[in-house]
Amino acid sequence: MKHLKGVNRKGKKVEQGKADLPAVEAQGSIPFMHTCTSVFNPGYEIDWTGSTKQLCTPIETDLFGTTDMYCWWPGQAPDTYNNPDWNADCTRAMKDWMKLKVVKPEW
Amino acid sequence: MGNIGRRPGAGGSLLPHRRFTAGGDTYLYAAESGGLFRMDDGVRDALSALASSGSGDVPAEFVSDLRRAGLLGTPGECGEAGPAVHPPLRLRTLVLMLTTSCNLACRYCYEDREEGCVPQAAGTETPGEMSPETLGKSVGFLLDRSGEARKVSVVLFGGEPLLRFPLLRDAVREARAMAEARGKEISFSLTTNGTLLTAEIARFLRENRVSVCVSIDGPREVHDVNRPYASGRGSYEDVARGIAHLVENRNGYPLAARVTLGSGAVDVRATFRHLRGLGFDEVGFAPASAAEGSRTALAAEELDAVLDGFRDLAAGYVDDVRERRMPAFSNMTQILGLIHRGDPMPYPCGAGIGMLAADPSGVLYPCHRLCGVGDPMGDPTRGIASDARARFLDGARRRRESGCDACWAKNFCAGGCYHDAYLRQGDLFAPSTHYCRWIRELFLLGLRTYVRIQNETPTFLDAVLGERGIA
Repeated sequence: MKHLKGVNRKGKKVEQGKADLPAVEAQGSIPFMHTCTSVFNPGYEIDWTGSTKQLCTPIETDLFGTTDMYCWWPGQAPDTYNNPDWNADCTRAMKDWMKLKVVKPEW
Repeated sequence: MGNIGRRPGAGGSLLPHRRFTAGGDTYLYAAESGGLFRMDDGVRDALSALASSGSGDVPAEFVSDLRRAGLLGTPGECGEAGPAVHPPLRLRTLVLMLTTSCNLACRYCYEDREEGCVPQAAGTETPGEMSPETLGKSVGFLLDRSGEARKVSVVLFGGEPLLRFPLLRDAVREARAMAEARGKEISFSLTTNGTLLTAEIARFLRENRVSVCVSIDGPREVHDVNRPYASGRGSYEDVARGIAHLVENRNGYPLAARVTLGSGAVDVRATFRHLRGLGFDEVGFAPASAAEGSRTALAAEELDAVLDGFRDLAAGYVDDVRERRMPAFSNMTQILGLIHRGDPMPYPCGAGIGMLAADPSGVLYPCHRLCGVGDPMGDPTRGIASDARARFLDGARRRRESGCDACWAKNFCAGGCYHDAYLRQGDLFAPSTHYCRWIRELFLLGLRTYVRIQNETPTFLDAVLGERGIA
């Protein structure tokens, strides 16, 4: 950019080409703190500004962030009606994820 | 995605923005991107050409810069945003209405039925009181629904929460223990009218690291007009005594004053000086939420007088920053934080997104002001009422589509306070158009102040504003 010099943090990002999505790209997205990205943007690795700050949660701790109906990229989790305590021993996903219960349908 | 490969100059209209000059330079704030830029004369000419004849006559290099900055585009091109997809609930803050009782009868109170707050023994309904059991469940709900967030906060609110000090005291201890058991950090803040503060309570608040915000409207003659007891006696003397206890028991958190501006009490300079003199570290102002034509609503000329006062306080803010004093005008700190980060802000606040309020019976609402207004959002036992939450956020989205989207100040205001709109217009989601001009002027003051600080003391912006959250 030759004619515009970024002044605030976002302006500087735009100037450096780190937030150079055309403005209309952002309009269908939900650019708000603690949210995921718009459906056309890359997955939840980065947000639409190119950083990870606006993501639901860091990827490695995203277990619970991606199992509710409001997530763009819902993760697969047991239904809580038949398996109410599938995550009972997993209070901190980052640490306890190995304690998640394996749910198998009964035949 | 179709717009990415569009050739420059092939259509595209100017998107909401604001140009202004400061210190001899010309600046441009682009609402779509949230970017603030210094611009050269070529951009000025390009903007004029765009405004009069479209992008056909503008050199490609300007079109490209303006597109990148979020100044030029075709908003309708992507069509509708598709089915409403709302941000997931990321509960960080829970407001607890410990009681709906209050020992004051403020003239502008939004707990208002007809004349002031509901006194405990009067009124048709019995004021609600939160039970220890409901309180424990509510805190448990906050901890459960905060996901992986390590930090959560509880706002102790009412009515006047210090009417329930024994409950509040037990709640703080119990909630901290619950949070620690789950590896979380919990913080508490208390909003109080200050009349019931004693040395014992102030010590408790210090020892338990509860941050305190006192509602006080200024010097005695101003404060007592709008904040009397039900008997009509002014409350200033009791509040001032309470504040002295807090000042003696500072706990490391800034001591904050919240000033409600009602009709006839708009000298913000004098109020600011007075409250700084009492020992407050932060002073924030908000116009009283009031129905149009009510005796506490600010008249247009009073809003202008407030803005004039804010201009002086903003100048003082810049002086404070230059001289390495922590500035106390907290409205400006909030505006500068928004400008600094530049995140587009589709919602006016965190109501229903990162924040909920529990009424005395534990029923959840988007915020404390909306308790009993509109649909409940669930309760700690049965969880979130997803359909009610979706309806609320749908309403917030519709509001943006009803005109706010074309406003350059939308990232600051996002349509304004839902509760204010409800009082004024009977509709939570009507944009607060009565404040439009005022809000834009205030945001412009913020942009000018930001540029001055950026030019004089840029280190302040990252150090102080960088990570401040949206309230």
